[in-house]
Amino acid sequence: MSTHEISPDYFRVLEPPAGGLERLRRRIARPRPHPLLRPLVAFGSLALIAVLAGSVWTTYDAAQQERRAIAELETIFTSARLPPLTIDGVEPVELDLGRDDVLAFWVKQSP
Amino acid sequence: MALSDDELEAAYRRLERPMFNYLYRWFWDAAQCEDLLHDAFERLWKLRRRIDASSLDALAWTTVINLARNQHAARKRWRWLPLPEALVARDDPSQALELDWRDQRLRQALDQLPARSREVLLLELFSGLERAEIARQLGIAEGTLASRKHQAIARIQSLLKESEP
Repeated sequence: MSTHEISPDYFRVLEPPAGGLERLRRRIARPRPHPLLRPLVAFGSLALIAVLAGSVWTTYDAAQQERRAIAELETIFTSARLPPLTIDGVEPVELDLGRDDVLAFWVKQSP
Repeated sequence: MALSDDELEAAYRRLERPMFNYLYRWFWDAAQCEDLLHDAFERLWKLRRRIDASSLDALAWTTVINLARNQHAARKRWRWLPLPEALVARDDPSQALELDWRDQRLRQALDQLPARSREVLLLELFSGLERAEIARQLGIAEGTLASRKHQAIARIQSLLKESEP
């Protein structure tokens, strides 16, 4: 079976766009970065990535430390116990807020 | 050993039309085909110190075939992405107004061929290379090339017949 068996109408030879060679010449003549600059560009890119990664790490680390400190404080507040209120070593049995906003503590009379 | 600018330009003039026709039946977009063609010749120009003029045509074909393969694979890989409307329209055979009805039918038929068969068929039709050279370019035996070509022609004929109005 040969390609001639397919109607040549389908595979007609098309002309490429005019001026292709001139465009290729212009493309080749386009200035490009000097090859010696490539290592410099590569190093610069790596350095930039390192700086970015470092700044992300610093921010992350500070946030982590703050979170840890808050968690520790919460632990202290929830676990800390205040000593019971006493007056001269005696626990009050009654509290009374007077009209003059004076708070009175009533304690048991010692035997 | 080094290739001169004149030799490269002569090769471009010699190969522009067959390569353009080969690429056009893959991508159906003249600007993209020219871009790929220029990519190939720019690469050759960069390597001109290591290229011998006698092997230039074969090397140019190898470069164009590989670029077309890569571009085709990339298109398939990114097909799931929502493309801008202009690109979708260009990708859809029914909306490609610049193509006449024969091109549209041929495009639909070629899209259904396996890439390897399509490659063989298009190289046979447009490259003007000897059969042995095509087989060498594709890295297959001549017998394999013949059988792929036979299958491709049979399939394309049946697909074109099916799509007749």
